[in-house]
Amino acid sequence: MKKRKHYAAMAAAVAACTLLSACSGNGNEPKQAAPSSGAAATASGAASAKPSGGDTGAPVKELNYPDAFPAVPKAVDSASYAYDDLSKKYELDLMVAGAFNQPVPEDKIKSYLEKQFNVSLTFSSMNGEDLKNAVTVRYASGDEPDLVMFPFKDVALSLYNSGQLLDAREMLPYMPQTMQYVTKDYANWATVDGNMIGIPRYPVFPDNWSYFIRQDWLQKLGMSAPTNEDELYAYAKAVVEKDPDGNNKADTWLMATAGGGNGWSMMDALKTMYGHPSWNVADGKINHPMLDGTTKRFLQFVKKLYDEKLLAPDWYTIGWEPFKAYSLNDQIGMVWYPGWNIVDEQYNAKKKDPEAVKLWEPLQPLKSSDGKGGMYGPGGNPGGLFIVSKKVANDPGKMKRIAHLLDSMMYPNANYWAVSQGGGPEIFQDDSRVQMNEDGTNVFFIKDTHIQKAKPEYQSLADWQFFGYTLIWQVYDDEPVGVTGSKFNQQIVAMPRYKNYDMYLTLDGPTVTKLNDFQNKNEISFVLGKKSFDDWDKYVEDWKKAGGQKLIDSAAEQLKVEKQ
Amino acid sequence: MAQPVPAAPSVPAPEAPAAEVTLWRRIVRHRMLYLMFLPVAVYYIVFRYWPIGLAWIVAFKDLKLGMGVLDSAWVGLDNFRVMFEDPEIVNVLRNTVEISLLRIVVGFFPPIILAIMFHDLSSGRLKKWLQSAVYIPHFFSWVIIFGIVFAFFSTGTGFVNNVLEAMGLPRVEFFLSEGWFRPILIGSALWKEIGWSTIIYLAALSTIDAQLYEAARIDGAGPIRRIFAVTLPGILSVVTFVLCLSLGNILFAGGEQILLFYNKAVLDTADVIETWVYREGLSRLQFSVGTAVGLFQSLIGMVVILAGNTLAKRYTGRGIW
Repeated sequence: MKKRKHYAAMAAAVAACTLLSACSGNGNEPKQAAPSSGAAATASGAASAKPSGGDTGAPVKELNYPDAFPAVPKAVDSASYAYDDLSKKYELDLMVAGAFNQPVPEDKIKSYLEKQFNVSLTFSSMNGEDLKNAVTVRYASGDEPDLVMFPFKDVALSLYNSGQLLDAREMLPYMPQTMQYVTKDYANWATVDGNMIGIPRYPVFPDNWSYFIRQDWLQKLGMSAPTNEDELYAYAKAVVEKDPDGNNKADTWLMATAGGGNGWSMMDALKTMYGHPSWNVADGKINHPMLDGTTKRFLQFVKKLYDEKLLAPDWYTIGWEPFKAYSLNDQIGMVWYPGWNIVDEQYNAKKKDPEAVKLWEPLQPLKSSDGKGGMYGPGGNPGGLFIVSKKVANDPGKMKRIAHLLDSMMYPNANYWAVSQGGGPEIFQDDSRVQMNEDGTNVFFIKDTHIQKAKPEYQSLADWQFFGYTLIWQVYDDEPVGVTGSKFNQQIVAMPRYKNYDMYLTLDGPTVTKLNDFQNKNEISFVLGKKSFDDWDKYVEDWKKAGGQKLIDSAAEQLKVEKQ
Repeated sequence: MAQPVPAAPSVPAPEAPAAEVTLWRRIVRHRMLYLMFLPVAVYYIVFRYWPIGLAWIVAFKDLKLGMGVLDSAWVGLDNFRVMFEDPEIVNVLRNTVEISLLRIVVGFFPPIILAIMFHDLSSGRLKKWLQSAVYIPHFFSWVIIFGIVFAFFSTGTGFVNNVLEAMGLPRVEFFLSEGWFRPILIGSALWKEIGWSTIIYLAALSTIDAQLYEAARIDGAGPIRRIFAVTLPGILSVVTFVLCLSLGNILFAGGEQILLFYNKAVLDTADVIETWVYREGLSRLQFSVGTAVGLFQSLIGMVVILAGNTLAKRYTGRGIW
């Protein structure tokens, strides 16, 4: 009998647990933890305000968006955050598109922020596509995160239109540092039908991506840097046929997409040889690379490279990281990279050989054989949006805490370096160095002994930086990588670029992504010879039917120009 | 000495008429069992049947995130219309059916043959070792499997291409070839699951009476004859069961694997309902369309199972039920 009762109790317990787990709330209610025992958080960071005991009001009284980023960025006064009553503890759920996306054994950045802001943080980082899916599923299930650093404006717009997001203008008054970077163009980009769907973020990279070409190979081949498509083709032939690495093996190629089979990635910028690579206005009429022959000529050039076997093995399907086995191992003649990064990665791949920093140099934008091009793609794009759940507005104190926390991570505020590159001097005093220059630039150096570099399992600490980190104002003073990388960055930023019309467009997201799939699928077919360029005009008509015409109409209307 | 009187055979007490044993009385009588069953029932209701119910609603609504399932507007068959008016859908459906049938045809017989081979192995130790070896791939994720496949078939460093080159043959771009996509897809899936799929057949084989083999051997039947005369009839019911259930997956072509294996160069051959739903439903936030497609898949699956079961009963005398 006793045994029976025992079993009955066990079964009842299991049943109760199952019911509770199945029926428990999914976070619909605002998560607010009980005040911590310590009541007030420590306020050691410059941006952290002491408990005020009352709302002092928003530091930004009127949302006046600047024309441009400040010439000399400066941290705002920590007194700006007196509106935040730090005595109350909150639970915050943050998500970001990261680069490493692995759990770390001990997250010291998280602990640091929790102590600074009297919060309990849930932090998730994942790659962009996974983030898109995870965020939509969480919103669909009513378990939305409080704040997401989100690269997808179209999805953000869908969420906003579903009534899920806070209008960014409700939060911006509490973010004086961020306000310095929400330019008129950025604000316009993030505003749809009069609503600001998220807080636009400055990009991580300034416009410092360009093609890089092997200097030692040019020298060995007796060639100068290509300036147009014909010279690039000649260089590609020479790279493949004349054994520039001198190992008597046929193991050198021009380049690859490195896009994992999902588009042109590294080769995409070749399109700029033939014209504007995105929506633009030509002769007062709306234009797109599909309409003016830019895409066709680009594909014909890629097909020529492919047919003559000038592209690396697995050139279309190989991913970015696996491709480094070729590109950093003397097998590739041209890559698309940010200035400092190619120098740093090549230097490390060559076991810190100082000569390695001389291998690559940026290439000026190429022209077509008939003189078009000569510019890289449009610059000045935002680096995504911070989207905030509408439910956060139910608790103004929580909204202010999020605003305070996020603003403190923007350049060059108190926690900007603390959360960047795996943790700055505020957390890892001996392993990082920060120098703020008078011109607003900074030197931020992480030593090889830093836990993020030294221990692979701590790499993901660097994912925290995707809230506020940027290379726009970062300069390097270390020899030989930093100095050379900085020089390249400056050269690239100064290169000519096409005008950015995308900033002024909000096109239908599902149609844009559907059309991208349509183009990707068909464009590779043209290159592989499954489709003939004789059928190009029919393809353009199909493109229009697949959504292109809808976007043409929409773009023309938004840019207030005529249709072709 | 009195002979012991054999005890009278015990006569079971007559049971109460079935009508009198109500469900509630049975529950009370076997309350321990019912209590232990409760978590399972709750699990299936909450996580299996309730979502099916929701799917029937969502498929006919325009689900808005902020409004929830019940408050979103009814749209009739609009979601199904979106699916069938999509210009890609004909190709997607064709790919789905073709790949599913390939999976069934190619993947159905090898586990049976392998199970019979295991069953006939006389060395118990070798049998266990081989079984473990073929089970292992089942536990690899598709990401790992793709890594292995890439290592074998990549153009630059793949083992197969290295062999081809050593033989003086040109390298093949397997991953850009629509012709090679399906053989690689089906082949790798077969390699991953063949071992695991033998388990149900091994269980069925273990139930065959050993005396039947002995009798067949005495009657002069050789090993192959014994397979056809004893083994296959002995597991026919299980084979029928597995085949009928496989037919139910006719519109489920293995989207997870395909998502990892495909690229834009082979999309025309590789795009199936699951990958289409992934793009349309999840990536473009059209949850209702995705749900409608899921419902469509399930209905077709159910119809095919019913048809398969009917045919199986007619031609083999056996079915699922």
